[in-house]
Amino acid sequence: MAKKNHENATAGLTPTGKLVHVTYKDLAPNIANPRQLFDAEPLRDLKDNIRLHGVLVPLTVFKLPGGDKYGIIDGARRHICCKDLAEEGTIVSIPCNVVVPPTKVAGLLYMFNIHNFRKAWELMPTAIALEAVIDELGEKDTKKLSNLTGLSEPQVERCKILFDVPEEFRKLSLDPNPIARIPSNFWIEAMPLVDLTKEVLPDIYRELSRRGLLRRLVEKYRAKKIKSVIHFRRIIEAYENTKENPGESRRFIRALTDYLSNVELETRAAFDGFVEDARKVRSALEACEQFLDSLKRTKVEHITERRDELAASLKDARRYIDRLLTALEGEDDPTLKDKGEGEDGDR
Amino acid sequence: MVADYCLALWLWGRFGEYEPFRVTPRSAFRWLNQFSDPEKRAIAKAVRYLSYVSEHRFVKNLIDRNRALLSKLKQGKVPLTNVIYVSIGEAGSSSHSILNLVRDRAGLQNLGCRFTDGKSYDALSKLTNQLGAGAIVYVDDFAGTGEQFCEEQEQLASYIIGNFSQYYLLHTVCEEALYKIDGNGVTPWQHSIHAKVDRPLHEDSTILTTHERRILRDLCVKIGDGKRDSLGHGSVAASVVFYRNTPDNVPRIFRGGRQQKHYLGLVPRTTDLPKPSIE
Repeated sequence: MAKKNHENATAGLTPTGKLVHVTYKDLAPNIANPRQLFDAEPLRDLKDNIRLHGVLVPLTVFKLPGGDKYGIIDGARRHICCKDLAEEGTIVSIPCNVVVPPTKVAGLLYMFNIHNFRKAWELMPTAIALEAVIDELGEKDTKKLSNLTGLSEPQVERCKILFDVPEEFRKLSLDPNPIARIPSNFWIEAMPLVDLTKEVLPDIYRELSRRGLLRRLVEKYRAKKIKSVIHFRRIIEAYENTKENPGESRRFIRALTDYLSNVELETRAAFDGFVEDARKVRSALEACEQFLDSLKRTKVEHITERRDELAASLKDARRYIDRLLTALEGEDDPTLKDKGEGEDGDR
Repeated sequence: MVADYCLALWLWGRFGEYEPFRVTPRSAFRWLNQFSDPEKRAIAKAVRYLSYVSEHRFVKNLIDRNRALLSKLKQGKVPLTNVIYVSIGEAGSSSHSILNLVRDRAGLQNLGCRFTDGKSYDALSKLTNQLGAGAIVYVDDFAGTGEQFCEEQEQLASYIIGNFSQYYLLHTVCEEALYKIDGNGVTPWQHSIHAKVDRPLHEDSTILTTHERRILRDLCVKIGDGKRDSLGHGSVAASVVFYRNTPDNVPRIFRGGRQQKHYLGLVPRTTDLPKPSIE
């Protein structure tokens, strides 16, 4: 249930009617977003302008609790310019409109809306802040959250996946050491694999549990056996490619069992075979389609010139196709073999 | 010789309570005797400006400043239960020890103040989200360049949810750090400011003649094996020693070589000392 009404929570900033003139030292960058990553060139222009004319448009600030400084709500770029100018020896008096301190949620929403124009945050802090917004407003709808925060809908969705990540693992993505930190998208990419394991390997899922599975994947990641988190997608792709084919599907399940039980088994080494075979078949099907289409479009049935040459070429193609068909009909054809096994077993 | 012995006695009197390394007349004498006469003359002049902060002074100064800060926050209508003390740096760094010291000596737990480790982003995020507004007080003994602090503060500030003013409670801050910390939106709340002119080996200081300074700076480079920061981290050339450790911004001449090889120090940092044998 919503704790607060949206409109109350996100109401506009209330002016105190106070205009103050301060120096850059009296202002604190937005605590919620201290990364002042702005393009250098427009900032240089603004600085030159301030050097010549001073700060013409007042900043919007609020008094920080128990402090002498004002928190900046609007005007971070002007503040940076004034700070730079001070370093060069020019102290600028900065006019500021003082407003009532924003509520926690208004501050958060403001932060979301400005950080869209700056370098994106790491996903985990964004998710934590979004969770605080949801908790405060009780709003869970992705579209509405996207409108409120300025985050794109896919970003909101990705954050939502992170809400379900147990705290034990969240902490791994908040490790201050970037080398030891598990990237936030690790969980996003790993979750479908955990769900897949639950579906196709229920015994292993029960034995290890969701946490145990995630721990195992972290172990593999730390052992550099998951070279990129997007390699998890290959496992899902391998499953999709094999699920209609009982024999292949069994092979996939064996591979997944090995993969989950053996930390040293690398993702691509375990699953590329399924993905590459499927890709080859897809390419071959496309080639067949293109070949037939192109040939039909030429309408060569009634030509009179260079008939022998064309016939020789078509025979070459037929020879190659016959050879391929024979190979596909051989005893190594997994489809045929599996069909047989399936019939024996089921009936 | 007599002058050296007198100076050694004086050094014992000043640094005798330094905890990481026992400073005695003998150790001070040995330290002085590593240098040539012209070097000794410059050292004798410089070392008189190497100030020592005893445990008693350190604790008193820090607790007084903390009391002033809490009083200011109280006046600003910040409930003490919304004041979060944060340690910074790696586990085992000075900030953690100082925070524990302030917490116990000032009875902060009884006042309802909160505590967290700056490396625990998750805990900080939850705590600030729960409180909504208040003050964050980072704690340490000394800031030299302020760069390391600002880097960490910027990192963890993105996990703070709500309106919080930020303070940096510390005993001594170098003037260059003061500017940097203040510019980052954090109010330095120190007992004293360590000015460049008070540091004999700093270029802005006139305590030594140019010639004397050059002698000592060359000596620092020699002791530091020609490595960067022989004048202390960030070439701050700080001239202050705390009873519990010497800041890494103090020049090599006072700290000695790494593991005290080749050159002994007068007041080596804990990390400058040889590794203890575990037998």
